[in-house]
Amino acid sequence: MFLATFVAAVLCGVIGSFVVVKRIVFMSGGIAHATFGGIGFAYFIQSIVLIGWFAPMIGAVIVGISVALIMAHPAVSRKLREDSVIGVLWAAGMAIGVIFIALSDPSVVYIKSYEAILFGNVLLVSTEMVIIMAAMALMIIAPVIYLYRDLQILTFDESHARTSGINVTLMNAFLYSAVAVTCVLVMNVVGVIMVMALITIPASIAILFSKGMKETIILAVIVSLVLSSAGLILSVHWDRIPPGAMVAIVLTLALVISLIVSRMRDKDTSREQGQHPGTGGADGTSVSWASRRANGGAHGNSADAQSEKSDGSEGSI
Amino acid sequence: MNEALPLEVKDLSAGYGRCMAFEAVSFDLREKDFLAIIGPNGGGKTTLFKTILGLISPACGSVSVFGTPPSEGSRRIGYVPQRGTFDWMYPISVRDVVLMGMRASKGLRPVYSREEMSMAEDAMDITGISDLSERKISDLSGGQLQRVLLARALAPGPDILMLDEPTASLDPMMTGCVHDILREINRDVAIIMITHDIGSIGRDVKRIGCLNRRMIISDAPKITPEMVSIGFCCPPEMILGPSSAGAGKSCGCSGGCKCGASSGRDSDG
Repeated sequence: MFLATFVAAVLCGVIGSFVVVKRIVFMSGGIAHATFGGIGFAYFIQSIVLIGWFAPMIGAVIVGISVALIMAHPAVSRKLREDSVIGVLWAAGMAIGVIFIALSDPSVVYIKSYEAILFGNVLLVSTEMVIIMAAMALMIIAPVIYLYRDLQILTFDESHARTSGINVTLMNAFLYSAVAVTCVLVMNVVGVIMVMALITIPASIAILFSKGMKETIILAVIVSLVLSSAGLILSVHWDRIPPGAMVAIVLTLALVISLIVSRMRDKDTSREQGQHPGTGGADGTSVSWASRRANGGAHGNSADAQSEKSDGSEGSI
Repeated sequence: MNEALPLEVKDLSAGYGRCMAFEAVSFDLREKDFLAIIGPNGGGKTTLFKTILGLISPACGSVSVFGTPPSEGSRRIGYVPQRGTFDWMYPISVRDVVLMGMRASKGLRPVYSREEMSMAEDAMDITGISDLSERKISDLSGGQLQRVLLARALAPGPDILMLDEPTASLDPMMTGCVHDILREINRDVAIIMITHDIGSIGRDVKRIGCLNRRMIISDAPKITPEMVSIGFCCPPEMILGPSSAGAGKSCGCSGGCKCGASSGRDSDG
């Protein structure tokens, strides 16, 4: 139970940070809900063709990635407004799920109740499922770490990403697909409704206290881990409260407290700055453009100058 | 062998869908040139920049950057977009924004090399923001943010610098600071700048272009009567002096897209 929460929390901390800064929270909501169509489709296939291995999670991943690719396709955003696309896929995905579940034969395949699918139950997650979750989470997090700088550029300034040689369409497709897989995995822990909370809230809390994206991601993972564990413990303590709902409420309360703390800190900072006006004025250019060009042209500065400035690290990620 | 001109634009038309933001625009940018582009909002200025950078495909005509198409040549351009087009609440330090300028040379490597980091440091020195390098961008003033964007564009050592309203909503001191930096850079970099700051044109700018669906270029840093006549959507006294107040009432706002879809196309032109 806690291992599954751990995997979900780490994934949400990493992917949620990019989702929040790129302002695609509702796109994630759309993808998360549309995966319901895949779950229904998997039940239907299981009941008709008797393919036992075609688990609801596989159906959800297939539909989730398909929806993500549709949303990321530039031709779609050219013809329709982004929020309209989200609304359409959200509704259509859920409708497909409901229809397929209605068509599935419950005497052939065990179909979870809508409540179990929508609200999840981490208490019922099997060890096998946790291993699958961990493997898929690794498959997402490894490329995110490798592409961290490019994802940072993409989520900050898409035009700059394009002129810098980043394949924006491909990168968006990757990010949205990662969001889709995250949604499916987390859905198993806290349910489709609570996916939004776990993706959005830890990252939103982390941003309030972070200077950079790296810090945001690390803090979001920590917040996500601590608070989702706290939510689970409270849920176990109060036997009648479902874990998904408890985790979401704990996260929401934490966000409210964080906003108050952040506001108080900002007031203190501005008071201090009022007493000690900051630096960073207009002048103070210590390197002239002409000397820079003379020293090595556009694309090659002297290594000596770098080694003086370098703190010894090979590079920066 | 003579290298091709930094920028050659021939009979260029571009826009959004069937609506052209500008048509049949031709001009070039010479070595160490400083071309200011003025014109009303909706006149196509920002769209022209995006077309030159390859962000928008032209409907017809061509763009050549040092003799190559924009997809290739845009690597030699440093672009400073409008400040308002960003989410300034993004959790990122000044250093990381400036390092973004080195992405083209970094490629798919996950880390920046020492040389790339050093070039970013130099760009921060040139623009006077080294002491702000660890600050979060949401803590900066408008002038500081502008210099961060300028540093990002300068970091890879571009041969052309394109600026979209670099002094918009800056106070006179900060405007002067930006112009001081540009004057220094213009010693060996060709600059093309969109501006509404008519007052600063005489000091550093070498040529002026006025864009309002079509472009008129003057080889001197002066606004010609023809430029005013193609439809200036600003108070006429800004261009022709106080005595002309009221003279431009008839010009209305004829600029921009004929189909009336100029709003929402982009933030400016």
